[in-house]
Amino acid sequence: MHAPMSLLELVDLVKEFPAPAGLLQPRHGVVRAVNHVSLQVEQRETVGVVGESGSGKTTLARLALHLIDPTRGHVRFLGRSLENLSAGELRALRAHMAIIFQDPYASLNPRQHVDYILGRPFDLHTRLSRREIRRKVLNLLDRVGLSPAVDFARKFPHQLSGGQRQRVAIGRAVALEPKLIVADEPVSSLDVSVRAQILNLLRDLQSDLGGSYLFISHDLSVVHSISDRVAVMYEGEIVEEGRAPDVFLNPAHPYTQLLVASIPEHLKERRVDFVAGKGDAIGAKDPQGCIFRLRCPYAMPRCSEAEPPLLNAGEGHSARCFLLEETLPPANWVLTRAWTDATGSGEPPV
Amino acid sequence: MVSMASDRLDASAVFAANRLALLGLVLIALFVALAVLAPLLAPYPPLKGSGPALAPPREAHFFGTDDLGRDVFSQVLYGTRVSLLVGLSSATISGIIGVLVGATAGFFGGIVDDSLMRLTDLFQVIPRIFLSILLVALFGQTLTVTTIAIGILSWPGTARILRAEFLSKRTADYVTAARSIGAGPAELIFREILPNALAPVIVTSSLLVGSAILLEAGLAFIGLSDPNQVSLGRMISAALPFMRDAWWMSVFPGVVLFSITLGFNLIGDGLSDMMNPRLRR
Amino acid sequence: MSVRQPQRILEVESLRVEYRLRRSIVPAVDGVDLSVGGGERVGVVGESGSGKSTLAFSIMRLVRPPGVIAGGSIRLHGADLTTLSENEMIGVRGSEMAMIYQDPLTYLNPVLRVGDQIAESLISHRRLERREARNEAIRLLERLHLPSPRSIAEAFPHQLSGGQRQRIIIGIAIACRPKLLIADEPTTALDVTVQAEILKLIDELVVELGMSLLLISHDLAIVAALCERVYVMYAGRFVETGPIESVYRAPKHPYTEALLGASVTLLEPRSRFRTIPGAPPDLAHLRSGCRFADRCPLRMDICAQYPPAFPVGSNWTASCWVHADARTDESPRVSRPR
Repeated sequence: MHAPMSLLELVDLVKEFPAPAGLLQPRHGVVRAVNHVSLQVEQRETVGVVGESGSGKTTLARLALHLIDPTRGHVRFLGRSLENLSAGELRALRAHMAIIFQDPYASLNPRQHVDYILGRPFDLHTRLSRREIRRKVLNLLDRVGLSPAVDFARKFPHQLSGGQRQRVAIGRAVALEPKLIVADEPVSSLDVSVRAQILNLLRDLQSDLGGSYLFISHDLSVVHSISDRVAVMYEGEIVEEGRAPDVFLNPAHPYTQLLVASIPEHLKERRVDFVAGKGDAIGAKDPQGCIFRLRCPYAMPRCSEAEPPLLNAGEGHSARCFLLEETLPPANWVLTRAWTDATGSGEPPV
Repeated sequence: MVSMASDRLDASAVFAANRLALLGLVLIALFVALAVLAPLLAPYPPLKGSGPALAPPREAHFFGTDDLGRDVFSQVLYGTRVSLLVGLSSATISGIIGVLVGATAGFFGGIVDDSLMRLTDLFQVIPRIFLSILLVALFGQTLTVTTIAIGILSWPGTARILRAEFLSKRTADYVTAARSIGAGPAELIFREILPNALAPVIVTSSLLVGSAILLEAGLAFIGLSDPNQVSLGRMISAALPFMRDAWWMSVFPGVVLFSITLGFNLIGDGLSDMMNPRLRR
Repeated sequence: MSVRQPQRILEVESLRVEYRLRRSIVPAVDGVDLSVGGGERVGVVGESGSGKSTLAFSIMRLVRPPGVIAGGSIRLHGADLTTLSENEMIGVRGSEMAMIYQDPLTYLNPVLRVGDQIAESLISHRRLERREARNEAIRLLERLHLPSPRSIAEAFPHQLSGGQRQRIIIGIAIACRPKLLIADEPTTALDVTVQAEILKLIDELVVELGMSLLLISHDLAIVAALCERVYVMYAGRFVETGPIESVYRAPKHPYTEALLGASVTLLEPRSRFRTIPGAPPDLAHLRSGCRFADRCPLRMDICAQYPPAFPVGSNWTASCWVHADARTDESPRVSRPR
């Protein structure tokens, strides 16, 4: 089962940014990118975080590695609170964590060649000699599939394709065999066929090195394919959490159901009539009650009175929705019924 | 996909294709050669009379002589030396100051940025001539003072450019990646961002050399330069009363001054073009 | 389903588009035949570097140097667009055919209100008066399912969300009721729920206005959701074309098969993905023969010659030597069923 102490613990994290004045937003104010989020990642586990733009998942990724400071709450890595560490202690701890970014064209310094980029982690955290580092770098290149290693070591990022750059970025991330790797949309910018290669690589590395991934993406299929557990984020909050098959094949929260119903494969199968324009509006955000209620066809009076806590939806599966307390919880209605503005009627699924 | 030749080959190909930039390079190379070889090439000591006064150009004196009988050709050679020396040194000084100020302001932001920018404003507002006069009056009329004076007057432009580069690049993913593996601020500034931010600075610096040379000539023209050193500006200044009768006294130093400045400007333009297509490509 | 008129709206024949660079000539589109019938929805699927975007832009005659249309014809209603002058093309764009793009922000004028941008199209092509055009624009905004159309019409592009901007682009495109709508990766930059709505919107409008649709995408599922026929593009050429259901269920070209195999979908349980070894060829240095050969599990000696498009079913062809002797109904599957 789980180790006694989680590898990574996000405890009631809040992150606020000053808000720019917009069409419908007040002149001054804050934007809560992350709103009381708690999440654990255990050893050897892949936790996926799924959400659309504005969900706060990218901010969460950076908070997890203390690349930005939380407004409230804390991040515990191997039991130690990252905010309380000195610069030196934090630096030493960074040997055990790494990040992979979405854009392979921006995450490598254009003026550094691959040899240097991959050697940096060793430079910063080990006392190995030049020659030993060189050997490790060549090993890394082989391991991420960039062969012949000697040729690739000499290259600059602009001489590599997107998939190759991402392999270098992955190599840099796994150089010190970290316990935690945060992957922020690592395959979203890549071609279909390259995507498959990179996902295979990430999976192989995990089984070889035994690390954990916090895998962030807007692509449900990708997250499903690689994650053990999944958290669904909406407007800065986690609205559903559970094992990947449970969340995606049996979504409990209406937003998750909407997400699943929106993937193109479901469009083709004509199992769903689409949402009629309720989403995709920049409206003033109503802080009262459930954050999804303005878009939810099942909204009840109690949804505007209080925010639902995470309620039980099955073994290890929870969702932030009062429907779970009703006698007939919805079981993926979106996929078999019309989701319309006016009428909310439909039959329970078979 | 389209394969690309190595980046450097491509870039210098663009530079080479730019005929004007090549011309600039040739000009400067020529003048540098002349300046370096001045002691060997100058037929006479520049500041000692070596012939009849105000003699027109002829075999013994290629560029004629000035009102004190000194060989204009030799003076021009040594004057080129001084111009290049002052120009390059002061551009280097202002470059270093500009980079340090700009990088610090752009990287740290906040109060550091605000205060450094006010300082930059201050230096930009001060009229150059007046400050030069002040410094020369305080510290004497030597080449070093001139060089430093010009250097500390020219850095604001560089600082602003570098600050803008740092502001935009400090949030780049590769910088965040370096932070995530434990790199500290010094490393981030000098190893990650600076190499990527220098391109526009190099361009402005080469243009700066041109304007530094002109500034030195200007200072010399109004008599603020080292009287023991030959300066093209001082030569032109001394030639004023003799404009009509001894055209060679002002024309030759003038043409050289013009050519050196032109050369640096052309190189600067060429570098600027070189930096851009690389991105477009 | 859509009502299919008999005539072909768009007929592209042997189209070649080259990028003429200093050191090389890159044939981004290298001899492509494509047709779209009245009211028909056709998709072009391919990865980056396949040439699909270049194809879309060339049909609109929007390719600029160093890109050049080097050969072939593009017939819209029988008229060859490659022979038209730029002035004549301006008359065609927007009124006969229109395009929607991947990144709405770069294609909208940042200093004009969006209502005005739609109205502009109406004024220049349909010669409406300004007031009429404004009203028509607001009606259009309503049709695009935008809430409070009057206030949206007054907004500037940067004040709208990505999905709203994309609707505006669609609005500008269909304002003059073109016969052909070309959509180049129209939802790639959008969130998945917004994408679903935009796709539905395109679907509705295409049916309602009787337009033909040419959808370009790297996303096989999107193309499957909206289109009836598909062209699969690789290294500047089409390698397979046929009815969507057939091609996806039983692909006849090894590349199509590999592409489908590498696609990650929610509906399959977690598994190791099959990948395509190697990388797409360098278009500047193409060898003769099949361009997929050095990555193909079925490579044979004859692949050193470029395979013609063999018929493998009704309205279905694949450019692979595997089908050389087969007759229409009995052509073999490329590999084991998925």
